[in-house]
This record gives sequence, C-alpha cells and structure tokens, in this order.
Amino acid sequence: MAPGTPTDSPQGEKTKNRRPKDTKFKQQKLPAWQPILTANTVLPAFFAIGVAFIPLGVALLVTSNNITEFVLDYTNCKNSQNPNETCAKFFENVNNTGLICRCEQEVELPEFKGQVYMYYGLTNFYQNHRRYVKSRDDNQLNGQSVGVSSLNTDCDPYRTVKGNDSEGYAPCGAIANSLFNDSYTMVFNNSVPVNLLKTGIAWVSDKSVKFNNPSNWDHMHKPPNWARPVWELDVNATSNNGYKNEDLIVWMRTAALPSFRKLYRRIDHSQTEFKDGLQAGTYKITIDYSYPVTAFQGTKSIILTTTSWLGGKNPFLGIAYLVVGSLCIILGVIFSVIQLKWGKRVGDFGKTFAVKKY
Amino acid sequence: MGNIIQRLRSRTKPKYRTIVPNCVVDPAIPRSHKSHPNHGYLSNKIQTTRYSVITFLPKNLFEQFHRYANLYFIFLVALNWVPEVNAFAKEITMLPVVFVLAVTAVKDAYEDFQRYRSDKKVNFQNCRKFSSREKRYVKTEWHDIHVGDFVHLSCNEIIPADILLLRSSDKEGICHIETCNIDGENNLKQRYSVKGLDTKECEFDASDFCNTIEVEQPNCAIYKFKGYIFENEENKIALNTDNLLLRGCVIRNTDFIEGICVYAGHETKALLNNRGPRYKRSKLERAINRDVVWCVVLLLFLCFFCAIGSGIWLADYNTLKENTNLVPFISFGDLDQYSPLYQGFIVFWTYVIMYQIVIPLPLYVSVELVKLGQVYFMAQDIEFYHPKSDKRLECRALNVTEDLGQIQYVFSDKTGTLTENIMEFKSCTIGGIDYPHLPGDENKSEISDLGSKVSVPSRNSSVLENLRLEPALQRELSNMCLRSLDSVELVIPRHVQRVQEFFLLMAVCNTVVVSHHPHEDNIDESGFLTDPQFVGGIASRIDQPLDKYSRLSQSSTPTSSQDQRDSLTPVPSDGSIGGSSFLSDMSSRTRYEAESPDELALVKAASTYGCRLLKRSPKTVVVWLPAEGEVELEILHILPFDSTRKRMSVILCHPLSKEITLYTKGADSAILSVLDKSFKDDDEYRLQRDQTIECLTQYAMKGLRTLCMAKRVLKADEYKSWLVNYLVASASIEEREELLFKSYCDIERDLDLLGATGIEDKLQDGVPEAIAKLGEAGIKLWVLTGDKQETAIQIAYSTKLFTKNQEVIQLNATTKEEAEALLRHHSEQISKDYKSSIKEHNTDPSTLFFREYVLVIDGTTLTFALTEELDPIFLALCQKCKAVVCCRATPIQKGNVVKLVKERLKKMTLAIGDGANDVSMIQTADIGIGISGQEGMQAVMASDFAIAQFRFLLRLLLVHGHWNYFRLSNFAAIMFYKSLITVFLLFWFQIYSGFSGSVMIDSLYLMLEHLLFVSVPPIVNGVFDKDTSAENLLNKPHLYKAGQNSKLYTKWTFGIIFLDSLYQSLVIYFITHFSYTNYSVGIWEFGTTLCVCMILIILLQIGLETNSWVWLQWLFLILSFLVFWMFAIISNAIFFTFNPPSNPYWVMENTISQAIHSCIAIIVCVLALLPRVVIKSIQFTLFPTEIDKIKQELQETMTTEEKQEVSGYDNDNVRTIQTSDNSNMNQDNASSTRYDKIRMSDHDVAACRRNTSSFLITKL
Repeated sequence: MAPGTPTDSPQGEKTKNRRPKDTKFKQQKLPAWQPILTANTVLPAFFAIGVAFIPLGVALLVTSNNITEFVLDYTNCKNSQNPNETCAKFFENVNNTGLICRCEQEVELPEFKGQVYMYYGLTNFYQNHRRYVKSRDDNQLNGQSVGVSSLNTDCDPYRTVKGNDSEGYAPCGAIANSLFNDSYTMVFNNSVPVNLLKTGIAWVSDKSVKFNNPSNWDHMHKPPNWARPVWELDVNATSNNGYKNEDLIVWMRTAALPSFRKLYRRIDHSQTEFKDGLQAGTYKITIDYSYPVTAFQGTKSIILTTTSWLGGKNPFLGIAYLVVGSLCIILGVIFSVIQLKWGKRVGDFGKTFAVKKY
Repeated sequence: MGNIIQRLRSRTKPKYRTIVPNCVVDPAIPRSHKSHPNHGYLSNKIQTTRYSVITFLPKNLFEQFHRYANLYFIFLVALNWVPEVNAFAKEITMLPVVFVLAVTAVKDAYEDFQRYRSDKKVNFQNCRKFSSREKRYVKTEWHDIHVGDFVHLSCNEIIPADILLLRSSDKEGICHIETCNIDGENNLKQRYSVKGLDTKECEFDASDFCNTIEVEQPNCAIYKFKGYIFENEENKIALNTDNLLLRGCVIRNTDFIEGICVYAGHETKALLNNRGPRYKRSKLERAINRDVVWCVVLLLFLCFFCAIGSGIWLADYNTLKENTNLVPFISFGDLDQYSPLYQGFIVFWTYVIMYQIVIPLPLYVSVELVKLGQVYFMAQDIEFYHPKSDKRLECRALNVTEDLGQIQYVFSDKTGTLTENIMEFKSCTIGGIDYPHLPGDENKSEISDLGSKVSVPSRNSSVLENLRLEPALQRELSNMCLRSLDSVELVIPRHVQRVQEFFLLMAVCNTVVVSHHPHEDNIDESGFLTDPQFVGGIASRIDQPLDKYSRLSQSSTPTSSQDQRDSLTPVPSDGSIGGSSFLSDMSSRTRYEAESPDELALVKAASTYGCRLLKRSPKTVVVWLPAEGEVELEILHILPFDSTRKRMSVILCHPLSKEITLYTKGADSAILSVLDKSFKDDDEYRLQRDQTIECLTQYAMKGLRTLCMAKRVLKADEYKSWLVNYLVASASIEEREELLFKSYCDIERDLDLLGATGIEDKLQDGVPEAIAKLGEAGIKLWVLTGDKQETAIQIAYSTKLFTKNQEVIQLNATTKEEAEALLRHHSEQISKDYKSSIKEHNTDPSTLFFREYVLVIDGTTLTFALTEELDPIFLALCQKCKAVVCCRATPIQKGNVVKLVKERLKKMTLAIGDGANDVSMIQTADIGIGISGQEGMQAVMASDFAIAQFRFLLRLLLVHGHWNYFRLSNFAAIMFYKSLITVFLLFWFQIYSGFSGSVMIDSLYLMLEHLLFVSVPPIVNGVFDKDTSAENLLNKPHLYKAGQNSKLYTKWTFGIIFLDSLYQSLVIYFITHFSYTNYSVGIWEFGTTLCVCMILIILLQIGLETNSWVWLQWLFLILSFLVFWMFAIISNAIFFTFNPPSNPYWVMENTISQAIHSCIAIIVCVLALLPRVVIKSIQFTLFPTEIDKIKQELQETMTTEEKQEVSGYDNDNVRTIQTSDNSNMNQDNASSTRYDKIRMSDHDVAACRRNTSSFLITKL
C-alpha cells in the first residue's frame, strides 16, 4: 500500500462494525467427529476384516480351482511337412517369411464343463511398449475418412507406403502390422471337427462403436506383414470383415503385460457332441503356424479354458485374501495382547463405535 | 520499474524543474501540450496496478514465465512435442501448467483489482484546489491535482501531494504535520510557510501569486529539498525541507494551510520511497523445499535407472540389426535409430516428462490456497475482535501463517504493547507530602468513561483528566482560591505556594499546544467561504465567558490579570475549585494537543486542579492559576528533553515580579542528582526530600512512571551570564550539540525539589495471563523497550514476566571491559549454581530445584553486548535466563537483538510492537506483529499480522499458529505422498514394458489426478482439520512445543512418506499384476484398475490423516472419489480420439463390470493401508504424543461425563487439574510444579481409565 493511502483517516467515519460474524462455520466450531486410532479401536476392525476375508479367499480359490484349463505351448512344434524341423526353425530362414508352417498336435483333454473358450497366448511380447501402443490411428479404425496425409504420424514407419506418400496402409501402424495370424482347427477323436466361432470374442462396445469400415478403401494398401488386405479378412461375413473383424479388434486392444492371452475363438456348443462343454478325449489340433516369435525369445500357446465370474484360472487372488485375512486375525490377536498388557482398557466393543453428540 | 524510468528520465533532464502556478497559464492551453509550462510533470493520479484489462494476459504470462518452476514445466511441455520423446498426449501435458498459470493469473488479477480499488479510493479523496475561473477554491479529487495547482487543506486532512507551504492559518506561518505515515515518528513536526513572502505585508492570495518556482527534480530523499521562488529577475527566495509538506502526512493543530503543488502522484517523495513488500519464506516452506530437492534427486535417479534399463532391454534384441521386422513391437522406421545408447538417451527425456509429477507442481499453488483459507478464518475469529477499537485480526502476509506455530522467542515492545499507552495521573507528592489518589466510589463512572475515552485520540483530547480529586489537595487549593479572591495581600503559606508552583510546572513545562476550538476552516468542503464571524457569533451568544476568553486569546496584547479577575468574580465558589464551572463550560471546546501521552496526563491533571494552561505561543504562555487568576508568563527559553539529560526545562519570566524561574521536569535520577546541595543542613528540606524519594520508590513499586519536578529561581545576573554562554553555544556551528548540552546542564543545577508525580501506564487486559501462558508454552519473552530500567523492571513484575523468587541480573556497564566482565561473571555464576544444585540433589533429577534467573540489560551495555566479540557470551547468558528485558534500547538495537537471536541461535522469532520504533525489529523477525493501537500505523504497515491487544497473541500462537503448522505439515506430507505413490506406480510398470516409457494409466486421469481428483480434500484439511480444540490448546500451552521443535514435519517425514508410498505402490501394482495374470487384460483396463485403487488409497490415506471430521471433509472426500468415478464413466462413455494413444471408450464400464476389479480394489486398499493403521495405533497406544494424551484425556472426561449423566457423580478430572495448574503458576519452582502436574494428570488418567468411547463427537 502506498504511504499516501489513507489508512486511518480521521474524518473517515467508521460506523461500520467490523465484528466478525459469530457463526459456527466462520468460527470453525462445526461439530466434529474425532476418531482415535488405538489398539483398542482397530482391534474389532482387524477381526472383522479377517472374518470377512478368509471365507472370501476360500471362495475365490474354489472358483479358480473349478476352472478347467488346458495350455498347449506349440512354439517348437514340428513342421508336418518336414518332421525333422520345428516350425520355429522354419521361420529362422528369412526366405520363409510369409509362408505357413503347418503343424499338428494330438492332445488328451480332460472334460470341460460349460462354455469353453480358446485363447492364444504369447509371452515376451511387449504389446505395452510405448511406441507400439501409440502406433495406430483410431480415427481410421473408426471408419472416418482419414486421408493418407492426415494419418496419425505415430503409425510410422507403417503409415505410408515407402517412397509413395499418397498411398497409405489400412490399418496403419505397428499394432495392425503385427496382427497375430496363426490359425487353429480342432478335431475330436479324429472325426468330429470342433466348430469354432469367430464372433463374439471382442468387446461389444469396440465392435459397435469404435471399429467401423470406411466408405471406400482408396489409396489404401495392406500392411507389409499381412497376406491379405483388411477388406478381405473375412470374406464370408461382411459383419466380420474390414476393421470390424473381431480378430483384428481383439489384437488392437493392446495387452497390459508382456505375457498375455487373447481370446481366439469360442467353442460352438450348439453341436450335440459339445453341448455341455468339451468331452474328455483325444483332440487333434492343427496349427497354421506363420507368426515367428523366436526373434524375441517369445513362446506361443493355445489355451482352452472354461470361465467363471472371476475370469480365468488364477489362484493368486484367493491366496492373497487368505493371507491378508489371516494377517488381520494375527494382528488382532497381537493388538489384544497389547491392549491387555499396556492399554489397560479391555475393549468394551459395544461402546467403541458409539458416536456421541457433545 | 517506475523508479528506474524516473531515474533514467531525471538523468537526461535538467537538475531543476520549473513550476508556474496554473492559474496564470491560459486555461485554453491543454496540460499535455508542449507549450504548457508545467507540461510533462505527472499528475496526482496514482496507479499502483500492474495491468490493465488489455495488457493483463500477455504481461502476466510474461511475468509468470520468469519463475523457475514455471519454466521447468514449460520446458516439459515443449519436450513433449518432440516426437521421439513424447510420453503423454501433447495437449494433456499442458493441463497442469495451464492450471497453475491460470490460478496464479487469477490471484494476480485479484490482487491487482484490490490495488485498483485502493488506488481509486486514494485518487477519489476530496480536497480543494484553486480554480482560476471561479477565483476560489473548489472541491476536487486527489487525482485531479496537478503540479502548479494551489491546494487548500484543513486540519486533520491528509496531504494529497508534495505541497510547498505558502500560507498557514497561524500568524507565524507555522503548520504542524504528523509524519508517521512516512517516517513513523509520531510527534508533530513544524513546517513554515515560505519566509520571504511574508515581508510583503499582505497575506498570500492564490490569485495574486504568479511567481515562478524552481525545485529539484523528484527524488526519494525525504529530508532534502531545495528550490527557489523567483520574486523578480534578481531576487529569489530559497526553499528548504521546512517549507515542504509531504504527501501522506496529516495536518495537525493548524486551521488550514494553502500551498502550491510541486510534486504530484508518483513523483512525490512518499511514493518514490515506497518499496515493495518483503518476501518472507516460512520455516516449514524451507523444509518443504529441502524435500523438493529430494524429489528432484529421486526423479533423476528414476530417469537414469529407466534409461539404462531401456538400453539393456533393447540390447537384448540384437537380431533387430539384421531385420527390423523380426520384433514386431519394436518399430523403428530405419535401422539408424536402433542403438541402445541413443534410445536410452531419448527415453531419459521421456521419463523426465513422465515422472514430472514427482515434483509436486500443485504443491505451491495449493499451499497458497490453504494459507488463504487459514488467513480467512483467522481474520474471522471472533476472539480476536476488540470491540473498543472495533478492530479484528488483520493478516497482512499470506506466506508465514504456519510460522506462528513454531515461535521460540517473542520480542515485545513495552509501551502500547504490554501497556495501553494511556497515561493516567495517579498520585503526586508535593513538598514531601504524599497525595495518594485512592480509588473511590467513582470507579464505576471511570470504567464507563473508558469506552468513550478510547475513541478520542490521546494527543488531541479534552481538558479534564478523568481523575478523582484528592480531597486534601483540593482543600488546599480551594483555600488558596478563596484567599486570592478576598485579598491579594494575604500571605500564602509556603506549602500552598509549593502546591501551586507544582501545578504551574505541570501546566507549563511541556510542549502541549492548546487549541480552543476544534480546528475550523473558513472554507467548507466544497470550497465556499464560510463566515468565521458567524460561527463565532453563535458561540458567543451561547457562552459569554467563552466569548471574552476567545477574544482574549485571539488578541496578542497582554491583559492584566486584574481585569480578568473582575470578569470572573461572578463565578460562584461553593467550596469546589474556583472557576470549575467555567472550566466545565470550556472543556467542551478547549483541547490540549500533546506530543506524548504523559505530558497530556500531567497538563490535564493540573487543569483538573484548577491550574489551567490557556494558551501557548512560542514566546508566551497564558495560565490560569487558582491564586492569581490568568497570568501571562513570558517564556525565555525552552530546554528540550533529550535522553542524556532525561529532563526538560522552561525558563519563565513572571510578568509582574519579573522574576526569572527555571522549571525542570525529569526522571528522578536526573533531577535528584542536580538538587541544591546547600540545603543539605536544612532539616526540613532534607526531610521533604527524603519523603519525596520514599514516595518515588512507592510509586515505582506500584509500577507507576515517576517524574520529579523542581525549580530554580534565577538571579538576573546569573541568568545574563548564562544567556551569553547559551547564545554562543546556539550560534556555534561545530559541536553545537555538545555546547548546548553543556549550557543546559549549567543552568539546570542547584534545583529546589517541588515534588514528584506518578503516572500509571495502564497494563492491557490479560497481559500477565498471556505472558504466563506463553512461558508455559516454552516461548521465551524478551521485552525490548526504550523506557528506563526502573519502569521496565516494574512492568516486568506487574506483567508477571518476573516473579519474586527469580533472581534479577542487572547489567549496567559503561565500558566494554566492564560489560565483558559482567557477562562472564554472571555466566559462570549461573553454571556454578546449577552444578551445586545438582550436587545437592544428585539422586533424582526431576526433583531438582534450579534457581531461575532473569536478565535486565540497559542500552549502553547492550551496545557492547551486541559487538561481535561479546555476543556469544551474551547469548549464552540469555539462554540461561528465563526472561530478558532490554531497556533504553534504540530502534536499531531492537532490530539487532532480534537479528542476533534469529541468526545465531537459529531460533524462530516473533516481534510485536505498536510504534514506529518497533518497525526495525518487526521487519527483522520471522514474524512481525503490529498492535493496531494508538501510535500511528507504521508498525502495522510493517507487520505480517496486526492485532488489537497483546493478549490476542496467545490465541494467535497457541491456537491458530499450532493449527496452521499442524495443518500445513500434514498437507505437505500428503502432497508429497500423492506424487510419490503415482510415480512409483508408473515405475513398476516400466519393468514390464521394456522401460519404454509406456504409461498404462490414461494420461488424462494422471494429469487431472492432482488437479481435481485428489487435490481438494488435502486443501480442505489444510483449512479445517484440527488435532485438538482451541480450548485444549489454550489450557495446555505445552502442546505448543511440538511446533517449536518442528516435531510435525521433520527430516524423517519425507523418508516415512517415501517408504510408505513405495510400499503402497508395490501393493497396488503387484496385486493387480498377479491377479490379472492369465487374464486377457488390455493395457487400459489394467491402468484403470490401478488408477481406481490408487485414488481410493490416496483418499483413504487422507482420511486416515484427518484428525477431526466436520461435514466438509466427508463431503469433499466422498465427492472427490465420485468426481473421479463419474468422470471416468462419463468420459469413457463418449467416443473421442482426442487423446491418443489411449482411446478409453467404454474401458471404465468394462473394467468395473468385472468382479475381479472390485476384488482387487478391496484387498489392495486393506493391505496398502494396513501398516500405517498398525503403526499409528501402536504408537498411540504405547507411545502417545502430548496431543494424543490430550485426546485420551478428553475421552476420559467424556466418559466420565457420560457416567455423570447416569449417576450424577461429579468428578471433572481435567478441569480440576487445569485450575490447580494455573493457581500454582506463581509459586516457586514453576516448571517443576508443572511437571508434577503433568505426571499427576497422567496418574489421574490412568486411574479413571475404564470404559471409554473411542470415537466421539466433540465440539471443537
């Protein structure tokens, strides 16, 4: 404030009463609840948590154990044309890139009850890599008429055709380019082919809103790693073709962790043989192996699993609940001892949570 | 800025500026035109605003970009635009910066608006300037005054610009001004109208004045001014500082003045001297900054770690060198980019962007918001409201609120701070006879009068002291009065003679100015002339004696006392003092205006006893004496007060007897040492003197300020010979001061003691209690006063700063060696005492009784003690003493003492004072507090907080200080915790994403997290949370020690936060990670679950750290989570591709619809918060802090009360403990008693620990 400011003007009539308002809010006298964390007060909470968590843990564990899961790692499966060579070896030859190495595996499956899903699993595949995750154009996938020049630059180097900036890739980017392209067929007892459903594997929201086909495919090319252009992904069903192809949609939802599994097919349970799941027995799985993983020390597997309200087979959560629940019980006991020995206030639990107006 | 421009401009300009009165300039010439003689001078419009509506945005942004923190964030945003590096969506990264910039901009805009309003208020004040068109003064506003304008000001008006004084209502051309707005000195200063102009024998008239004036270019030297008025070609009149009225000063004791404006607006000396506010940084803020440095270290470490990790990870894929296509998730355009070293370098910068949140950007903004809230509620606290002065707490500094909770040393002024600075005449002794003015039945009326009294400024108040007359004294005076009326011839007894002379001295030996009516101007507010005769006429018709009197006072011809007595004969003398009715008639109009309140008290007391000062001019003084009526005495000399002589004298010449008398008034020591030694043998005289001295000691014991009155009749030749010396002294140029001092001392000797007075410097309410509580809180109080030692010690006793059983060490040294010896001696003495007392009670240290010491040091000794060689010993000694009183300290010394303690002992200091002499220490201390009392505004202007009474300091420190410190400590901890947990969470994911700088949580959430989702509850807690109630804090001052010792935010705090957030992030990440293994989970679902868990845990953690819950905290905590939740759901329900790579469409909905999400969230919350809950409750149960104990006690009382309700059994443990605590304060060994009390209260607590309720609602 400038010294010339009249702060205490003698003529200034200070009739204004500067007395602050005496309200509970302004005087900071609102009624307050003051909880105190003592051994005595947290005791019941520990026991309560323990009592709640242990049964929950058991339930989770049981749920997880009830899930039937079969995992087939086929990374090094034999080339059916050349039984001395594994398919992994086959693709180490650069000339074989883009070819298909077929391999057949016979597996004994236990009985699967209920809806059975087929997943493919990849390990050591960093779909969460920063540059990889960004390498897509959601507008393009949404079917908006994105010109070649306005494609997301993050798609580089899979944005435009090399040496020709007016021709672009559909879909652009590294994610799409690296689309998982192994395919499986399954035959039960060498006679009954298991019908695998291609649809219903992606999120409904993705399929209906996020992924749409554009009006035309002008100036668009298939990504370099692909065998067919995107508009020929599923020529049999238009609703599963182009960007709306569910294999593509599933792949485009990048996985969180370097070892991941993605839903590949649903088992068609309308077949009488597989009405209640999969019967136990011998299944022949034919794999069209065309996705090399050895360059990054990865593995590939087929996973057949039933599902539960919790998802896949994973006892971790159940065990975690059991551990934390027991920990709480133990802490509760320790606190009781502390309370008895030093606290001198044997819990009157009924009163502990009594909220009192003062 | 303005100053610099000014300086630049003045360099190129000539040394002087020429001013032509505006009324001689053709009004047709616009002021801005070059041909206008006063062209180019600034007008009086002041503008302290920094922006205008148009310039605000660019200018504000430019200024903000100058701050380092902002630059850092701008750098990050820029970095994010580099395609190789970018971590987040470019647009999103700008959000926090934009937010911070916006908040700061809003704050700046608000402040600027406040400045604009205050400017407007200043600019639109009224004053009168001369209009050449209307040939009279017209009402105008301040901003409309220009250089060269004539200005007319009335009494008590503030001077709008620097004005050259040309005319004053005073005959001599004197004008009094009060300069406390500029230099803080609150005595009145005299200014003179330009001398040479008077000789023209006619009064200055604005329309006639057409002389050119030349003055210096504007500069900031307040005490320097040079210029000339050109009377004609050759003759010029010199101008100096005495002719200049500075902007901001107030006209006092002068009816009106007229002058010409020479500097206006920003060119006035006051504004050129206006420096910006100092920036203070609080102790907690320094601690926070230290931890911010740790954050930077952590940031660099994490970035390096991840960059190296990235290089190593990439090096594994060596096949890439041959074929870029083999590893599908590493997609570089060309092979050149594939180099682990290069990619590591690039990724380093990516991580700098990603981990930027570790430096809590919103911390600084939200700390300001929290402090704003705290300040608001402090100002709203009704306990700080002082109804008498209608003042509440005023917070002038925003950034040191929490320092209030950490104060270790309080430095207090005495006068006006501990005391009211209202001087009351309490008793006197005349000729050895004591007249104790015992309080009588009129006490009640006195109290009721107090209210009205405060509203009257002390130095400008009515004649009569609110005093109960001493009957004995009254009798003597009325006897004399009767006698004088009957016959002059009657011999007046010697004692009565003394009494009259005593009162005469009280009335004349001072600098009090009499004004007979409130200063009235003959021009009204809008500039029209009012008829002064008319106003006087009404008065005369109403009050005859007044008319006579006013005529008398206006005429300068001496009136014989005989005439006057005749006119007064009809005054009835009914046993009361003669002319008391006359006095009461007069009292409504006559006012005394004194420089110091004790002078006023004396004059008013004399006036009450009938010895009235009627008029004072430089040469004469007119008094009404009971025995003689009105007498005009000639003042030969005034020997002003100085601090060495400690006395002032007047030499008067009686008009009739021509007797020359010296009247001296001064400190007892100063008077008693120069009394007439020749009377030594005279028994009666010695008796009188001894009795007077005895009375003086009694007065001093009562804490009264004592003054001795003495006189000396000068023989004519004696006076003459002195006068020669005196004139030589006053004429000499060199050593003038010393020679004058000598000549003063020459005449002030062989005095005849008349008597002594005792004036009470009233203690403010509640000061002793407040000081006792501050002591209990572990705050050391030092009193730094300019007053003399005896008074200071008395006040120290009456304020209970000293107690009877403490040993007072007085340090009075005249040389440095002496001072050193004294300091060393006392230092050793105390250590010896300490050791011996340990020896005596070598068994149990808790029963030890230590003698307490208090230190009194005077100004001279302080000068030595503050030198570099001695200050370590001095400080060591001071630390051993319970309290320190420095008396006779100069303002600079006060500041130096504070500085010493602040810098050497590294203690938190607080200075409190009310006067301009306290400004130095107020500004030096960590916190300066001004008492908005009577002595001007200077202290308040310099302070961080202004309170109305000293006792409010207690609540300010103990309650608000504690709360603020507690709140901000928690707040800072939470802010760090929030950032750390987020960063760690991101870090764990890097291990599983190839150290690529991948972010799994939607960047929109991350950016909004600290701005929106978890930002409000900490702020609410920072404003509302309380660890315990105000009553508890006041009743148990030792709770304050937590803040003093910086217990709530220590260097370990950050470490604990670090570990806690590390643990919690581990729990959040890995439980989620392992739960989602073998689960087809996308990166965004994974991130969403993590984010939900993190925000939930942060909010729960804030809840855990909340001590008292009011509905606001509930509301904002729940609202915060809901806002996040709803935001996620709503934003995920809309398809947009604004924010690649995350395209969160329906992610939130899909995630939360899965059972696993909830299962993870529940277990993560429990497991993450478990350690903190366990440690907290174990700590509370086994190692409770002081506050925890209070909480427990409170619980006990509540339970007991609950039981009382049932059984009617009355046993309020806590309250009884408290009262016994207080009552024992004054007894010996206060501190050990206190410890006993604490132990006792613990015992009691243990005794009544039975069934208790742990969660309780209390009124806080």
